[in-house]
Amino acid sequence: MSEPCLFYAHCGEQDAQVHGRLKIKTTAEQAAEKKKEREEKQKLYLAGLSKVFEKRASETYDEECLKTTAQLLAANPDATTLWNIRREALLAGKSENEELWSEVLQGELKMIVACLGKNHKSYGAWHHRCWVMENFPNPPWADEVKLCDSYLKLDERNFHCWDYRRFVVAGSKQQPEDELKASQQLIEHNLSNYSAWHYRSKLLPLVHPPPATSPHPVAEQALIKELQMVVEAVFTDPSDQSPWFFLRWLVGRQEKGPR
Amino acid sequence: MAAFPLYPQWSSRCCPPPSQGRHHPPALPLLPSLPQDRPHPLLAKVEKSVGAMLNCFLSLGKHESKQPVLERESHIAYLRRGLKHLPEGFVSLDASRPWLVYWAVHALEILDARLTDAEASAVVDFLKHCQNPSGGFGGGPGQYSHLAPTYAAVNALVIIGTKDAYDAINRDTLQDFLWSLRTEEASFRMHEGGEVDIRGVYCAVSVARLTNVSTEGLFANTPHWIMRCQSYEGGFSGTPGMEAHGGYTFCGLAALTLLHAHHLCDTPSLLRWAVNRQMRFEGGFQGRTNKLVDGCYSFWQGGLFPILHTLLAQEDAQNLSAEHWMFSQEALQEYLLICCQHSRGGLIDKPGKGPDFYHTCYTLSGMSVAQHFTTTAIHKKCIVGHPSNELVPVHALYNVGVEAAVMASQYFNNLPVPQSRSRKAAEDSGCCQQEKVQT
Repeated sequence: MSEPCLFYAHCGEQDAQVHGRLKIKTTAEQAAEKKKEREEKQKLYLAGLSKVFEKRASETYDEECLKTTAQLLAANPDATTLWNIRREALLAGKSENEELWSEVLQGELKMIVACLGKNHKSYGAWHHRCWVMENFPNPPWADEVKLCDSYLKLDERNFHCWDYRRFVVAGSKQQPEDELKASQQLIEHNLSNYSAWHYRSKLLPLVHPPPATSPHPVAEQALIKELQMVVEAVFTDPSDQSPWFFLRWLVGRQEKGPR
Repeated sequence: MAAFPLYPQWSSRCCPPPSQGRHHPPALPLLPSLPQDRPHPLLAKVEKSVGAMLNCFLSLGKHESKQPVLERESHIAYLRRGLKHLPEGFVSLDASRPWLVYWAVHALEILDARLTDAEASAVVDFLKHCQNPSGGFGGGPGQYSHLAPTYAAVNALVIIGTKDAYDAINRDTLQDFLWSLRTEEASFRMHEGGEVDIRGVYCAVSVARLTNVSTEGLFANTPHWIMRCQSYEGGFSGTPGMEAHGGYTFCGLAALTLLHAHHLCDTPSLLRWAVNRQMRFEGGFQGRTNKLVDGCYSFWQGGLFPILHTLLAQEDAQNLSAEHWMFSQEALQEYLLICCQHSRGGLIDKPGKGPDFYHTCYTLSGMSVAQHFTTTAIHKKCIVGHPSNELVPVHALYNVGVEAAVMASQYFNNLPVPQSRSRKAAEDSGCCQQEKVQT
């Protein structure tokens, strides 16, 4: 079996972008040093991978397996296979004692934050967080709302975080009214934050449901208040698309198809 | 910022960037907490850099009738190098190596630069190593199967188009794999124990249709799940309830069309959303309302238009153009040619970014869509810049070359559909409701 070396990506520093970075003059010595560093990292990465696959094959889901997958995932949080193996390992070692198991899961939450630091849009990392929360005997939902707030500060349009927020709100006692307040704060901070406007369109019918005969998506008083907000927004910046699209929803001009 | 010059006839820009013309309204008393003068700093920055590139290009070309040129050889060299060796940063894509292969192979296909027999053989061999005995392809040898690398691997093999490439796909286990990912709600997980979103549906439908492994029941009710993702905005979200997004919208529309369920789609609403995603100054597309332009959306958003045109033509051909898609094909090409070609080869998201295969693939795919208006009877070309810029046409539903798609269909449609064991087991256990999809 020939080694597919033509296609193997070498390990090393994660930043693939060269254009636009400040170029530091490297001497031949420095370049050789860097090459050696990269080769070391690659060796470690490959060794780590084969160790994990070995353990998986022999079903040795021990501390070392967890430690190694954590290191590898912190370097590459998009390695789906490693997340799967990690979950197998966690379940294999699951304690009957709820407190101990909760401690393990708390550790997972920390580990995921390290991975999100590498890539805050990693499907694998966010999905694992959902899995962890679903496995908690008493899920710490309140902390998760705060976590969403902090990631949205980093990137207010991160749809992974928005999706996770909805998951947390559904599971927790977080009230739609509080979420409505949160979305208003986000809009006041930045009128262009379309994700916040969109979120509002999901919350308003829950908090201010319209009477059955109404053609509008929300109750009248709420509708008037929202219209005022939209008017304010379009006067502030008529070229900003967010309030205009929200307005279309608000006045119910969208044809209601199967949703 | 300097005043914008009068553009030569071929340029489609006739207005200055939005960030230039902001007016300052008087303070309104209604909700005093809303900020009054709110610049959009990121948008202004992008408009400035795009404007600078346009100005630079125009001032250089003043003395000759300079047309934008696609630097084919530079991009081909970049892609060929990448197929052999990738620099260190690409460890983050270690779980996506079939993607890297597809992006490079497809981009070369669009540039009409074929792989040598040896290169093609090596690609096929590598992808075989990514295929798992249980079916589907993983991100690399030994990795668990996942719908995204499966889609990429199948597409790459279809592009290569040799019998070896086609036969590399194990159709029986592929069918099993797809069945194993179907959920009770008729959506698809990306991998065992993985997340559900609309990409899964598209990847599953696309490979099933291309390789002819779809069976009755595999996608039963899936169109209705897809429709739960069409938001009031008109576009589609990744999962029901989220905001509409270009990549997910392409997945939704393409999957619906491949499932012959496009009549369920609110097409006018989708069209309105899609046309509003083309940036009136930059010319490229944004992925979502109020986000920045990005070269890759040239395909995810631009690719919607051939599909929409075909669907709308079935209802009302008279009111549709027989020459143009419903977006500015010229402005998109200008953005890509003037602002998205990297000096060292490869194409990019927007000025200031580095090249990568993903952006190279999707900018070129989008450019191809913008260059070729095609219906069953008509083919009208719209090549901005030098005539040598012309690219190979792509099949908008699969995003492989049209020729490659046709040849693959002919090959696989002559093969019998596998009779899956797991399908029988699924039917016996009654876990899926069968429904006849209207054609």
